[in-house]
Amino acid sequence: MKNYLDLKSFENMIQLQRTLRVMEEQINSAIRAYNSNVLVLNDKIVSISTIVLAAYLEYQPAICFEARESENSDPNVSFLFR
Amino acid sequence: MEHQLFQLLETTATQLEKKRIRLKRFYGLYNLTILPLNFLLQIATVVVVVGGIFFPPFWLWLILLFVVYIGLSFVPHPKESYHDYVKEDVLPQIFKEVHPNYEYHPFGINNEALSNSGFFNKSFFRNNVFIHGEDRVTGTLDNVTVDFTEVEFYRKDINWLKSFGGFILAILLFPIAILHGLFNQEDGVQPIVEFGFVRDTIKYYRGLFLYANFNKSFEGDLILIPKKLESNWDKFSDAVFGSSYSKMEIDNHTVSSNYSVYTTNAQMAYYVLSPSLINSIVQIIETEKVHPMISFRSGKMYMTIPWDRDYFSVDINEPVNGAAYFTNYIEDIKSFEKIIKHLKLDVKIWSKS
Repeated sequence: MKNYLDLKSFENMIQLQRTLRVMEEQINSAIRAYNSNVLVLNDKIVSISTIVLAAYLEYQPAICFEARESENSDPNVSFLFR
Repeated sequence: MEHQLFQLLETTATQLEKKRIRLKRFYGLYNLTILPLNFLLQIATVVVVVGGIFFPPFWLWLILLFVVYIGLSFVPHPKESYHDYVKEDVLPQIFKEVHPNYEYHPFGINNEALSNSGFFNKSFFRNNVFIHGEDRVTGTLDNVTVDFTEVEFYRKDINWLKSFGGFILAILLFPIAILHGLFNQEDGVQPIVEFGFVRDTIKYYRGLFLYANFNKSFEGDLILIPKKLESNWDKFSDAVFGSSYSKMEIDNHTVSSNYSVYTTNAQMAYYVLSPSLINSIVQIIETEKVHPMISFRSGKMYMTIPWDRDYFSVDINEPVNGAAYFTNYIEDIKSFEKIIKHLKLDVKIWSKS
């Protein structure tokens, strides 16, 4: 039987991967929630029933969130291993 | 393992076929004797009751009829005996061999889970008479706690045809009732003619109810109700979800056009309903042509799929031809695993504390 090294860091790596994935999912869900609200707002502003009130309150159409290319890149976690 | 399973299935098949042949013979005899006797008993009861109106001592015969009725009710129905034997003796053995982590219960339902799911509120249970749960499977699958049950809901509905027939019969019996009233003037005599609707017990919902530990930690509630069912609901105004939930839009055409989605926390809802999970739900809708109700509460996922699929069906007329006879049962056992894997509930992205 081979004696492999008991790498304690392995568990930490798994934990790190999970954390990153959860964070990514949380960010995505926040973006989806925001964009969904933007679509609802933009629909309300132009719908017949609320157009007068929206104009009176000076509501403006909002813009859906789109991440810039630099923000879409994978997070750099190399500093954690220094 | 496979060989061991095959051996078990072969042995079980031999025993089951012997039992089936014996009960099938008895089934023929049952149809020739017990069923006609039951029918005659009903006719005799009507004759004695009507005869007793004119000659009350005649009603003493009811005692004899009652004794016969009790005696007949002790004769087991061969079809039911076979059904119970398969469910209580055969299936638990197969489960133990195919999936030792599962536990099979022929009958029963987890009422607490059903209530926690938030699917079935007061308006759903309007006129509900009883709930029947069958083929309950509990256990763990890749560390995911799961619970599957076939559920059936029954309620009483007016049978207009029978009600009309009853009404006509009541009118015909009305002169007899008047005569009966004339000769029985004392108080406390029950009227022999009663007006009212005839109600039948009907099955109004059938499906697979399941709950499992969800693979993400979350706080809050989320429920997806098919739009075609929503009109029957009181929008969960009663207890289960309280009033703190709001309607939300889902960024998927199939889901948003078929479902109303309510949640207590929109961001949490988007976190729970990941694009991958939404795709899995859409696949179920499109391939199975059903609209399951889905909810997420207290770290658990609840789902009820309305379909007529009968898990672990038993037919006394179907010969038990060796181990192959149990293929469908094994497929049924594996189908639970498929649902969990399809929804990727076994893929944990976060270890829950």
